[in-house]
Amino acid sequence: MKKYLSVLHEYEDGSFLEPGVSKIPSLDLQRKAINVLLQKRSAEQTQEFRTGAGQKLSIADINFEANQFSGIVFFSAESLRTKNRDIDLELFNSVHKSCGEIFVIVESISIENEQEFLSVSKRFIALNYCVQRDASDEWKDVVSQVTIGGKNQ
Amino acid sequence: MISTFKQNGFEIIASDDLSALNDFQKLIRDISYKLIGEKTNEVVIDDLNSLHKAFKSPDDANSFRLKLTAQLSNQLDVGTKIFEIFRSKLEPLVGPDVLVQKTPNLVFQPPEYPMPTELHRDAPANSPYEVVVWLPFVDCFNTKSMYVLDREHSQIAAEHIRQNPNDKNGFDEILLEHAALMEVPFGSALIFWSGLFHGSIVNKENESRLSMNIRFKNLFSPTGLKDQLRYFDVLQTSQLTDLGLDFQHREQFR
Repeated sequence: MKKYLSVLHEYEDGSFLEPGVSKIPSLDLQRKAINVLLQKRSAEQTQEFRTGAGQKLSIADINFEANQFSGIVFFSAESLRTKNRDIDLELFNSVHKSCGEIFVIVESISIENEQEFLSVSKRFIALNYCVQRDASDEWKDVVSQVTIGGKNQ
Repeated sequence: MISTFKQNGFEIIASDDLSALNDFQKLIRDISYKLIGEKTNEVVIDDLNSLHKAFKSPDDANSFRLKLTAQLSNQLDVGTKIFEIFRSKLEPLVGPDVLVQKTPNLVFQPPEYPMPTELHRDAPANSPYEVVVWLPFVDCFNTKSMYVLDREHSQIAAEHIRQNPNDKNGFDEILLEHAALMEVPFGSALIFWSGLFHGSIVNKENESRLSMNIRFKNLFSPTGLKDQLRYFDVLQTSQLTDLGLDFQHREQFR
């Protein structure tokens, strides 16, 4: 039977950025969702980690457990985000190197081979580019110039 | 090139591949009739128009809709299919690097169904760089269809709410005067910008409406509040974007 690590995320009030959905997924609900995935894969969980509320995923913890599991299941990609909302690519890469298979339930991400890792990594790179650009003063200046009634109109 | 989209924020467009759309419609009819346990007839659109006859309550109809959505998604990559059918109109809008909504919304509006879609606009919170494709599988007209407030009047209505947040009557007056029910025959789709107010009213025609709505945006366009990872998949990328992302990947992951 395959063994997986699991990662839950403790959302701060108001941090679950889904318009129209105010209820934060509880840790129990997250465990249930992870268990459904594990059952579908005929797998079991070896250890549970938590992120959020000041905690980040520690690669050292995962490496300590190396060779005792086949992969890792995140409830949400929130566990991989920095405080600036982009994905921590260094952490993601380390998790892949240490864990192999990666599943992220909320975002429906499934990585079971190198090709899937490559595809998801590139998606994260594009997303990070957008997140960083959208938050920058330079971008706000561009928008103000091209908006109707802006500097260039 | 789309001519009226920029001015109005919406346009009714013809499919590039009617044969593929016919196959899509037939698949939906076949799954639907299997779910309700009825025999199909020769004319697909007639079967879909009379689908409401199989249901006794709105709850039954909604339960059917959810099952149909799930079975359809298992049998077909719906987002890719819709993009292919309307590619010549959509690609100039969103570009070659395309994100597609993960789960399209299937809407079933039987006659007199008491829960039409409330007036709303997607952006904000969705990105204002999204296009919505509203694809009916039957001929939609009058109350069987949906209404849209064009770009100019959506902006007027939004400004009215901003300045008079409690004046619902004033807002309704703008809506009544300027919202237009769309006539969208099967074989075409309504595409509209995510910033437009839209909705539907109770279907007073004696036929069912079965339609789908799905959103497309550029991979690199601003994201809005909706989480791009949660709600969108990559549908396609250009060769140049592939090279750029491959280059960045090697730089960041070496």
